[in-house]
Amino acid sequence: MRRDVKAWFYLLPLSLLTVLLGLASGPAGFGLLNDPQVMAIRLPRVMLGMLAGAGLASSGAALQAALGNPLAEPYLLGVSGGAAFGAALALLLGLSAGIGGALGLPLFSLAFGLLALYAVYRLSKVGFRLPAETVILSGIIVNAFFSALIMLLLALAGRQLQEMIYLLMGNLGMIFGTQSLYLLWVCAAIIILCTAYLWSQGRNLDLLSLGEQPAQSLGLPVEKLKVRILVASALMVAAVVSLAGVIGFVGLVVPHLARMIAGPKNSRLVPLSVVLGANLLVLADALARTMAPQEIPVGVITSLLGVPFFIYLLRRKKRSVL
Amino acid sequence: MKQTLCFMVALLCLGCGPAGKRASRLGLTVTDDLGRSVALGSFPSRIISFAPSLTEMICALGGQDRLVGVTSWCNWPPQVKQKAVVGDMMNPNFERMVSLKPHLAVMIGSRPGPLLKKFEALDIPVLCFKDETVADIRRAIEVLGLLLECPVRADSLNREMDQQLAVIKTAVDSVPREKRPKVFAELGSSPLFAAGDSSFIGQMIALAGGINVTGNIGSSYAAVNPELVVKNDPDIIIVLHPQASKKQIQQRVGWRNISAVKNGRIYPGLDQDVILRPGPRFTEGLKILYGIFYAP
Repeated sequence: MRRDVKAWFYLLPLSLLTVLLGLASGPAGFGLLNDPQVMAIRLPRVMLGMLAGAGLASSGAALQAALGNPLAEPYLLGVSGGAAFGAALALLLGLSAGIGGALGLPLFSLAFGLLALYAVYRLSKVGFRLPAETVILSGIIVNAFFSALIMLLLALAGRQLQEMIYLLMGNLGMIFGTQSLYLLWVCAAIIILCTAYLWSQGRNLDLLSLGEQPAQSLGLPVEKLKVRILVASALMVAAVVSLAGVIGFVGLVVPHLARMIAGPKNSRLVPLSVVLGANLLVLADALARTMAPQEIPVGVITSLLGVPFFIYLLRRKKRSVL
Repeated sequence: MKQTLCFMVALLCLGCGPAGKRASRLGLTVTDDLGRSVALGSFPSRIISFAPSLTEMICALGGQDRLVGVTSWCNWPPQVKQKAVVGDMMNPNFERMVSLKPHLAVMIGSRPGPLLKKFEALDIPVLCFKDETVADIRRAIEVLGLLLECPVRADSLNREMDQQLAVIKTAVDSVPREKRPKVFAELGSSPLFAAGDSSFIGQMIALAGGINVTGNIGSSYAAVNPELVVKNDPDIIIVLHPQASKKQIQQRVGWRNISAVKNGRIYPGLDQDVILRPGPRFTEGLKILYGIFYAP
């Protein structure tokens, strides 16, 4: 049996278990049927966890393939920095509380996420080409710029400081503060559509990983494909940031994990990353909810678990993975 | 502490008459809540207050004329808004402070921090007060009373506070514990922020005869999961931030069956300065809370 088929055989029941575990754990006590009102609080959170994990992981997988760089991830491209700045700006301007405020924050984070991406695109374009190295470098530069802007907002913030910091730490609990849940559906639609697109491009991504010139000579519109993949990733990341803040390392670690299981083929890698990412984030959030009476931001957990795991990956599979 | 106070009282007695001059020759040493001894040449007539609660105390003692600088958070009494602003705890403006030529700065803190060290490095004499309990408030008023040369006024202010406290305590003591309302104090809505028993607002709730449902969150203040509030089912929700209206709280996902929501006992729009500030007006805050808990 193919290795990834075998993995799916285990993963699907495991995912069900993860969702049930996510729904069952929380400070109100372990259990599924105790109080329907508690379930009403947990359900959107678990859904957001699945969406965010899936979106971050699939965009990570696609970016790693498209840019030919195993260290590529959504945050490296500056998109998350831009989106986080947009969200923080919306908070500072009071757009999250006023009339029609529910939309203000996501729109701002989407707008600035796309702006960051456009900046990266313009900076890294050499003639008509989009070389992978310059994309990464511009991503780092744009990210640094937006980090500075975020610091500025933090320094200017008064009352909003707390909310901003929790947003920057990455927190699935933010969904509770959102007045209506239709934003969750918008986010779901964006992530499902973009992921489907990335999956459909699996074969082309495989071609791309042969190298840009061979891919071009095989008739692949390399630059066009890259732009589309960048935009799809950026849309997903901005959607995630607007609802859950900045959650690190999922986009970097999960695709590598998926590659260990399913090998390098992108048409297998993307769906596997989606499911692994969703599972990982729901589990991390279940841990974040139960380990202390206080709310621990899930971004802290993913980074704390992600870094040692990544080091382990690097040491164990130094040659075959990277 | 007590010994120092006695010592200071002795100095004051010596200094009666043309008080300022005598004291300046004698010099006085004050020990603050961190156990630091601070030598002052004379009774300070140019004071910078680095906390809204201390500003209120100084003004309540009639020392507003000696106040030359306040924080941007100081808003009571209204006259202090005309004073020079020296930034706040997060963004202190030391240049401004030095230019005001202060004899003394007073600040809040339970351990020596970078702010304190900076004051010391600039040779501005600084006293650090704790502000965690009612006893801390009483002691701060006592010390400030001595520094402002009005110990009698400080004493009467403290006695007045004690009296009001005693009235509420008698009323609360008559209510058996199981009949006291369970209270959730919401300090921020995104993330949901709550106060533990060790926080000042936690103590206020207990003094006003309520039971804090987030008392055991492990720290003074923390972000909490909204399902914790559902589980602990408060009878009353007091909203100490401007971010959420009563209607918004009633419409929150999963909060429909909380007693406070069902019975409409949600109280936004409270005077946060009076309730959250460990200053001389805290008894007013207690009265407001007691009114909410027992006379809706």
